[in-house]
Amino acid sequence: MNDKKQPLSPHLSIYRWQITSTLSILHRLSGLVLFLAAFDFAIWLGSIALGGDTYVGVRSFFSTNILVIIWVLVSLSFFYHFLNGIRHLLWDLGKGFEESQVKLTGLLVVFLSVILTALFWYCLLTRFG
Amino acid sequence: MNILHMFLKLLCLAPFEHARQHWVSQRITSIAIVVLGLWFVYQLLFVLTSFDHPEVFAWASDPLNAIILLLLSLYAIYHAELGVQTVLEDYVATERLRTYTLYLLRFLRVMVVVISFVAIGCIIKGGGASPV
Repeated sequence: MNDKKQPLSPHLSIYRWQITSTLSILHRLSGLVLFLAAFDFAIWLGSIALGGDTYVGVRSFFSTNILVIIWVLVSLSFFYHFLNGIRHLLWDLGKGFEESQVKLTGLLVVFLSVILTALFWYCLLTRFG
Repeated sequence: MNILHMFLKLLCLAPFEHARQHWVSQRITSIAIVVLGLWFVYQLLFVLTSFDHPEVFAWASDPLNAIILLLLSLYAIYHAELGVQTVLEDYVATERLRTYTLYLLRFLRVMVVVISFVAIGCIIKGGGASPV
């Protein structure tokens, strides 16, 4: 067993800042946020099934201020991971590998995910606010 | 594939996927989530009228909605497991700890799968088709 010898990758702290690596790390971070959100989704489904006090309790817990900040983060993660995921799928098809394209689509993904998150909350709040 | 393996796979307890299958599964689930995720955002913004229990229950107990909600939950947690698995394999250096965390991850996924199935089952059983 060469347990200790396996190199850790990627070494986040020694790379010079670049948009490509930053977006790649953000893809993983947003993925981790969505991993946690998947549990909330299951809890929400469970509370709908149980109804009554359970649903009211889960709903009021999910509506507390701190949780609302987390939902904003979750929605931003969703739209970012969604758009950047499409960028990854296009790479899998062998498209968009030129350095200029990589930078352009990267900026586009960041820009659009912020716009979509703002639009999402605008629609949500005008409907339910 | 023998019947034991199929049974384990159904319970999400089969051995970890080979790298190639892992790669393929991640792509397939991502495409499913693109469609199902857009559906969910659309439902939140334009279909659901309230977050009170009767409205949400009526909406979720529509058989089509119930099935899509279940699929979204299953694909999301499976996709998430595949992704987190990659992160763990990259950053957890010791083999033993890596194995433990991967099994913990799998346990969490099975939990979400079970909760989702039971929840949607109860919702359909208790609601039936709503005339919306």
